[in-house]
Amino acid sequence: MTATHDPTIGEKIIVTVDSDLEDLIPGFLENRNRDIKSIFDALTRDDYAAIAKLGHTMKGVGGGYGFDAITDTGRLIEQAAKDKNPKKIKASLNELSDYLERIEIVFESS
Amino acid sequence: MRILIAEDDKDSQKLLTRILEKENYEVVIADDGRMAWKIFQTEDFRLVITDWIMPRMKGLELCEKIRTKEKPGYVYIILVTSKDGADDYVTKPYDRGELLARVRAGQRIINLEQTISEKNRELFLEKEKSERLLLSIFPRFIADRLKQDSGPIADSLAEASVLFAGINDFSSLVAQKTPIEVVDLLGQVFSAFDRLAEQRGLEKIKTLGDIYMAAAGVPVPRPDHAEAVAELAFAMQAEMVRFDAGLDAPFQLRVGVSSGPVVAGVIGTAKLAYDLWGDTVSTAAHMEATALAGSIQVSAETYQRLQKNFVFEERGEFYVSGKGNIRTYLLEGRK
Repeated sequence: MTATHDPTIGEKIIVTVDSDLEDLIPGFLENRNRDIKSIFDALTRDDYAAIAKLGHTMKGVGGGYGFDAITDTGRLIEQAAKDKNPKKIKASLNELSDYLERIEIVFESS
Repeated sequence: MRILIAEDDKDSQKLLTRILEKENYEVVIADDGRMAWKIFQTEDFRLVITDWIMPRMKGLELCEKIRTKEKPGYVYIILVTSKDGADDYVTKPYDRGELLARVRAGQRIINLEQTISEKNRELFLEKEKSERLLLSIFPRFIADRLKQDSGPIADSLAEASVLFAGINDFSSLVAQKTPIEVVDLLGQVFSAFDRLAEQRGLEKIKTLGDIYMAAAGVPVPRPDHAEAVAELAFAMQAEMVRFDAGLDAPFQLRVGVSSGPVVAGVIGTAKLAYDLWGDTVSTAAHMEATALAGSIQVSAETYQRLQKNFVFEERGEFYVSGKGNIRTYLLEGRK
């Protein structure tokens, strides 16, 4: 499972995912969009514990589905939440949002 | 194989299920440690994958609970994101290859443990069988000593009583029956005697042809050895009266008893047997050989020990080679 991601270029990001997981991917991506919204909501409440938890979950689940960038972003968000750094959290969320909009998934048999 | 997964994140649950079910594992999902613990207690799982951080009960607590639960068979635990208390760990995000490698390693260990458990069970059954066989040959006291030391055993016992019982006119029985029928009849008689001896805590020593030998006060001394042998003699005679051998004339038993010192033990290196030696043994054998059919003949040594509580009739004196004349008594009953 591999991904090509250059956030500076507005091109499609090709992510290769195991075809066994094909039916799970829409739900998985929908949950990440929900995570983004939940983290923004938590930011308005300064609820950094909730943000760290969501970042931790994102970190734990992304790579397993083939989305290593989601794991990386989750790690950044978790750390930023522990540092109580809203600027960095927002930047990571924007980056994730951009990533989710640009990905194009290619399914491959394992 | 069934795998219990404790994982609170739904996407991780789905991912793990998909990976493992593709490899033909049966997956049961618990949303947190407490739910996993509840399921674990009611169902049979040998492999558990648990997340470290979960609501209500964390992975480490679940590990501890599983480890302290007394359940047959080993449970292999794979902890996710940390390793304390687990057999193995994987890191998140889940990598299919790594996860399956860990699960397969766990499965191999569980299979090995099950094989060892089965072998141990077979070994235990074989040991029990050997133990039963050993106890059918030797008194427990002697069997225990033989297990510890394979050398000869010869114990001098100052006080014991020895009984010989033989079927009267056995040679004419042999002539009337086929060898198989004779062996079958003897088997029935001696089995009944075995039961009577065991009920009274006496030691069967051996059989030789139609002769049955038992003793009291061996291998463990007992103060009532003479009384115990007398009671067995009465019971044997009563058994013979009841026994239907299908012959024209009923079986009659000659019983001989003597009391005194004996040497008891196991000697030799092949076909080991617990046996008794000494003058008391040869006198008891002589009492049987010269007894009247249906009677219990005892030596003077036994008579002296029993005369207070039992009824005797003096029979007379017999000449015994190497001993001269010895006085004998017929044991008639209890006072």
